[in-house]
Amino acid sequence: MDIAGVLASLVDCRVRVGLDTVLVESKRPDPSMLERTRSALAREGRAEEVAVESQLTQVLNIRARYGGEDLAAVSDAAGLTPSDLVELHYGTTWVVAMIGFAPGFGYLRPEDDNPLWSLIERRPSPRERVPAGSIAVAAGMSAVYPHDMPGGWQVIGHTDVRLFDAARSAGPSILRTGDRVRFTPAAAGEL
Amino acid sequence: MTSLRVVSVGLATLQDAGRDGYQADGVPLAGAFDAHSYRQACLLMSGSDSLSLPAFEILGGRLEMVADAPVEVAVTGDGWLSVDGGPAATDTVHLLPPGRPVLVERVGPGPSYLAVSGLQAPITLGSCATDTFSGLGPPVVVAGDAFSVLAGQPRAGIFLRPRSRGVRRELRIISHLGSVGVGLDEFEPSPFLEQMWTVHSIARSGVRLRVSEAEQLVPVPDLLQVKSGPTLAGAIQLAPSGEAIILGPDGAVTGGYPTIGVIISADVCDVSRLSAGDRIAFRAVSVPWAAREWAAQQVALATALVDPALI
Repeated sequence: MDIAGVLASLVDCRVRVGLDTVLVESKRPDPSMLERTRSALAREGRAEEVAVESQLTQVLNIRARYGGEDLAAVSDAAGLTPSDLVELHYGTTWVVAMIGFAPGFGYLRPEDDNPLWSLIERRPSPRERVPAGSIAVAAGMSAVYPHDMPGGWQVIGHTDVRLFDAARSAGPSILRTGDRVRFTPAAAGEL
Repeated sequence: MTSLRVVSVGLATLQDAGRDGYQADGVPLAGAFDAHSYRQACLLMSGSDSLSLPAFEILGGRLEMVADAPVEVAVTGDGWLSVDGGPAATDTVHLLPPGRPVLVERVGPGPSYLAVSGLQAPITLGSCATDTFSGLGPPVVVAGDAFSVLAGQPRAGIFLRPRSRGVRRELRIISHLGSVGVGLDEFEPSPFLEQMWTVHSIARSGVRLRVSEAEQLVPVPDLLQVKSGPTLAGAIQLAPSGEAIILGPDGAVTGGYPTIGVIISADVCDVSRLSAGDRIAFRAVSVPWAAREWAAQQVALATALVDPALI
């Protein structure tokens, strides 16, 4: 049985997906569940792809104003000019690999697995406050900060989209695991 | 409507059973740190331990409140209680006369819970819990805060059969988890679980444990990192510094350290009753064992309630 089938067969379970792991919570644990899940995972590829197979995923467009304070340093690390790095960022389709760290914080993986993003590390020391809407990259991934919060990722742009709203009826997090995200650069006159 | 006002407070927050169901949105569960004592409070106030009623969790100092009409109150957990100026039994529902103080003082080691029959609290994502990590839910309780109380069925006199509850310094865990080996083929968690750990600090986000150099059985591998993944309260994560962190209700959505074990559901509530300096050990048990312990605890909880009117 594949992982989607195994997960679907786990009655009364909650499944949460990580970058490399799956967490299965159940009020009535069955020891064989762990083994079945583990062996199915070992046979399959990415957890996030298989776990969301049966769900409806969406493609989100996020309007971005590029030019964050770390853009120059990030471009240097990647060996690109700032404008080439920006172009690469909005030219990439990103996949929501996991939601975590903070409410609505999506870990966005480049769909094409371009290793260039892995050259960009976290800042040597985190900022005490990264404004909500900051578009950032680090450790092979991208993210949009859903709140004003501390953070160590490198900021390369900003959006007005708010990714977390506790009052939203469709669920508080705009991003769902498995969703695709595209960034659309705002024209200079729109700033 | 009755108003309940805070006269003085140390460190207290509103808690309930937490934001169950929003963890995939990155929302911590939050909710009562000592879920066992909290559920005792729900049982006293409603006759059911499955309701998610608001209660004040007192983590430090005292909480003194006054209402402008009679209300019913009960305190569970490790607290000292005074009602209307005189000492009163915990684990018992009391009638508080209007204008008279109810005073709860934390005596430790764990939190205490003050439940008030009919207490109203603002709900965010299905819960009134204050989440100290993400800021969801109401702010921490401060002097002058006022809460609405609705009248309910009288319950004064109902109590819980006394049951001794020592501090558990041997926490039972499930080990052999999938996430341990990610990128760490040579990494074997059991020597870490066999060490004696000393509690360094305790907070709703997590309990930090350290091990003395003399008692360290194995060094922490240099490249101890895993890809971030979902976690839950009670998960034990091993940090590169050699510190272990037992995740608490506010610190448990995802984590980037390897999870070396998970405390069984029956013992997770005991984590809140540890104190800095306590020496603790872990003991691995099987999943069926953990399920039996949980079931036994639920039966013991539900059968402890005594309603003198029914005797």
